[in-house]
Amino acid sequence: MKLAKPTLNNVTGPEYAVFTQALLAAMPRLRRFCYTLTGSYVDADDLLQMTLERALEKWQSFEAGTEIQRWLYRVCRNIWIDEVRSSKRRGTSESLDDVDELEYAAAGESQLINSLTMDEVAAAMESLSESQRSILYLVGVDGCSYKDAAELLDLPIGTVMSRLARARKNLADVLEL
Amino acid sequence: MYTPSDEELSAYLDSELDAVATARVEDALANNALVATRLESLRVANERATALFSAIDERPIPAAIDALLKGSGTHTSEAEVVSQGREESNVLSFPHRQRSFVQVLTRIAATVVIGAGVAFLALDNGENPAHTALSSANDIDAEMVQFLDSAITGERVSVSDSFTGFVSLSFESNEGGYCREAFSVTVEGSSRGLYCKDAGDWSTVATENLGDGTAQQFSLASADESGIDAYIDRLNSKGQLAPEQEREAIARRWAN
Repeated sequence: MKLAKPTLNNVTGPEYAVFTQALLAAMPRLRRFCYTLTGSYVDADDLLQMTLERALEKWQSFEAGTEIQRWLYRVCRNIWIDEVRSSKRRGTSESLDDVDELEYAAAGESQLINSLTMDEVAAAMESLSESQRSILYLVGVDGCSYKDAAELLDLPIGTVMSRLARARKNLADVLEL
Repeated sequence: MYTPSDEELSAYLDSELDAVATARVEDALANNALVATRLESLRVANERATALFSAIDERPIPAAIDALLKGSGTHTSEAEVVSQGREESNVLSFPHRQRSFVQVLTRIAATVVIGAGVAFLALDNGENPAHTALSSANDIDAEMVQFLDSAITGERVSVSDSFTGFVSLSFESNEGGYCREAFSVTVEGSSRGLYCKDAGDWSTVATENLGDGTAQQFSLASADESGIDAYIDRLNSKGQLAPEQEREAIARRWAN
């Protein structure tokens, strides 16, 4: 993937230093968020890189007092929607988004999971829609309130609530919990 | 008999129900084992998801991202050091020991060298730092204590007009208690430090002066370990705290 400028060492100033430090600290959670959108480790790192490049380009638009994590989530999601997702054939994830209100079959039903591995959990996660994964991560793992998740994802709170419940239920079904 | 929906059970897990709905769910839980089983399966599903997301942190950082962070500096990057001994060049890994994503990023952040130089102020200057040498002298002021007690990892916090900082890593120490790595900016300059809570008080394990912030150069260290990283590697074998673990620790004021 082509790298974009600027990089971290061609801008100076104390404000930029604080920004870059905060950016570095925010990256692990951003990387997780990228995974929720892409459903793939490789694609997640590509999206992470694009988001970092954009953040470095646009750092001056980051307003003091804004939580950088949420700002990065928004940058990331916009890139995903506007530039990446449309160019990819997401197959399963897209089709499940389209039928989000349906009770779709558990993808891993044939897998009798007695001793779960991360790969198996990852496979189960892939059975969720992109939206379900994002909501599950933001609320269930990252600790966002329903209201915050709704604002971030541009969804009604009721939709966040229902999709989150379905995400957990589907995951529990696939993992035979 | 009232049977809560999956949505209500899920919202109950997240403490998003109002008092009346919460009471209804709790009544159902107390009187219907099936409801309790359903709630438990949702909770465990969330727990598995949390573990998966935590595992992502352990994945190696692609060299392209390392390069992006490093910029076009002339220092030999960690990726280059590693790739010298590896066939595959598109993935960054760590042959000496597996670092977490956070640890690597923390190390990168620590090499934001500001001003004329770096003054390493570890309280124990031994080459093999031992946590047993942790200073018992509490040299941490009230603002830093407030910051360490309450800050969420990754969030920039302004405790006062003269104190801004963020925590970059929180973990449970191998020797008991919790430790936090933090960057802070005060009127005296910028610093990076590792602090551990021991016997109810935060103590400084090591600090690193990053200068006054008037000029900077971003670079990656090569093969040498910074002193703070050595402390972190020694004390942190369990990985970073998950966000929910951190929230619980903050609520307990980092007491075990």
